[in-house]
Amino acid sequence: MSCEASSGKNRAVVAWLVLMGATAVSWYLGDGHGARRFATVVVLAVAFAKVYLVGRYFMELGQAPRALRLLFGGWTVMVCAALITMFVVTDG
Amino acid sequence: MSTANVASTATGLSGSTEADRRSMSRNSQLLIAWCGPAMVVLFLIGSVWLARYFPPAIHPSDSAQQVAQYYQEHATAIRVGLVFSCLAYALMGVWGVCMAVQTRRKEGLFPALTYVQLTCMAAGTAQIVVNCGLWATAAFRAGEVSPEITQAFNDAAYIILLGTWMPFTIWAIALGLNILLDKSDAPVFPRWTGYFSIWAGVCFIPGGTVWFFKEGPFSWVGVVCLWVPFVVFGIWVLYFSYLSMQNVKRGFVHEQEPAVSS
Amino acid sequence: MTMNAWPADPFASTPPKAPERRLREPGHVPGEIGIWVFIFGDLLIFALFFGVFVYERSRSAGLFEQAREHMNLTFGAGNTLLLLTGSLFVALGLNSLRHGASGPGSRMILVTLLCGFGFVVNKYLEYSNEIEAGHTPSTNGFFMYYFVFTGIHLLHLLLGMVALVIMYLIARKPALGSRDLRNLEAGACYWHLIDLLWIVLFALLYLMR
Repeated sequence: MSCEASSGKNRAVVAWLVLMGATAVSWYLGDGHGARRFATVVVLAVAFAKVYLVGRYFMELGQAPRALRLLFGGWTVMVCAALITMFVVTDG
Repeated sequence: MSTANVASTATGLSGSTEADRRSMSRNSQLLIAWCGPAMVVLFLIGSVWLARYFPPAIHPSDSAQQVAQYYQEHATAIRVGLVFSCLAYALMGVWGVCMAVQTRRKEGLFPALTYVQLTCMAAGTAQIVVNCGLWATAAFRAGEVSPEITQAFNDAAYIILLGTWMPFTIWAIALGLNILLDKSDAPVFPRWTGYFSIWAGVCFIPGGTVWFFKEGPFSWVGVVCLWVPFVVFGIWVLYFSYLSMQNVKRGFVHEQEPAVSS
Repeated sequence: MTMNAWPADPFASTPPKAPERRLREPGHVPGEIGIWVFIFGDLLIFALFFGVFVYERSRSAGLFEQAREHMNLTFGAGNTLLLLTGSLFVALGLNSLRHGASGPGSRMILVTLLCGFGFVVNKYLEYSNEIEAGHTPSTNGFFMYYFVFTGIHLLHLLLGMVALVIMYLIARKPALGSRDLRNLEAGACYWHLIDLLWIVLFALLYLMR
């Protein structure tokens, strides 16, 4: 019981650390560092990777029924792909 | 037969049997549930086909001259279309009663949330019936008065239609809470529809952006301001109409929680 | 007693309450299915918002970029960190509550509430900064999207803070039933949704160059 409690706790803390790190990276890139076009694509990809982590570890979709996981993963991938494509195609 | 008569005289309803009352209740509840789909059809005829208020033929960025000219050239279609649209909006008041009748059954002796539904639904109905009147006013003297007057009435109608989302949102949230706060294992509607109704209420909020923008997705021709609230409202009405009809068809028309009906 | 006159309530014959659910068993829906209807409904609407923003941005990239350079990234990043931390604490709190630790669990929900309050204060400062600098929703396309989208997000967050207060009251109960846990999970999922939407808004409004 207490073992399960601490494993759930550890998962959430690790996810939080990764999310904070990812925020720092995208903050750095958005603040004018790196090649502009590349930086924006990375910023968008990192944002949706963060979305996925929030869903999987905070919303506990990891253990959820398959349909729910697929729906959430599908949303993340589709919206991310659509936004990046729109940006890359129209960015002169 | 004789026992039924005794029962009905005891409740002061001599002449009508239990079966009669059930049948009347069933028919009247089906009638008001069908007002949901009827409302959508009348809206399609009036606002989409004839008057072309949805999607709007007149843009918020059009000049006063363009607006006045449009009203002058399409006066008849607009007036006839408005009759249908106004009828559709008036039926909303009837359909709202259908929701209230469904939820009232479970809410107890003092159905607060059902009352909230009813007042907000009535206020909302009044608002959108009035905006049809404003459109009709714009059409009334289009071409005779200065174009700015026609434009102002047309603006006012859209600003009321989309900008006054508050009663609608409160209505949908009250209906949702009615379902979610039911702690029995058998709420009036499936439990998830409570969340669905609250979501619908939240989706009406972007209509409020009509007050601020003359172009783009937040103006009255925009995808966020116009399409999100209208499409969600349509789905909300049709799905809850369907659920109510299902309830009636299951023979569930004249019952209350025992604690309530005493 | 006089009720025998009424026909049987067809809804009364539904099966009895489900047995107490075990903790986080595989295939367990977090909260209940209804909250996911709400979450996916919101994700759908916000996907539309994101698409509209990137599309409109592509049509006048220069103007959007110029406007974005006025933004103070620290406000946006600070709010991201606040929401992420709030999300962590609500997840940890739920974990404690599942194992019967009512004290720590409810205190962690209070920390999340504090993070949410910090977000509101931060947003207030940021809005007043922008308005002082002469940027309003009617300034240009960028600020229109900025104010409307962050405003709608802020409404979600305020609703979420109400949910957190209710969750705190539930968490303070001496013993939690399966219905309490379900409601706590649903509230937590809604709070994570607010976090999730802000992550994307932060990237679009503050970081896209």
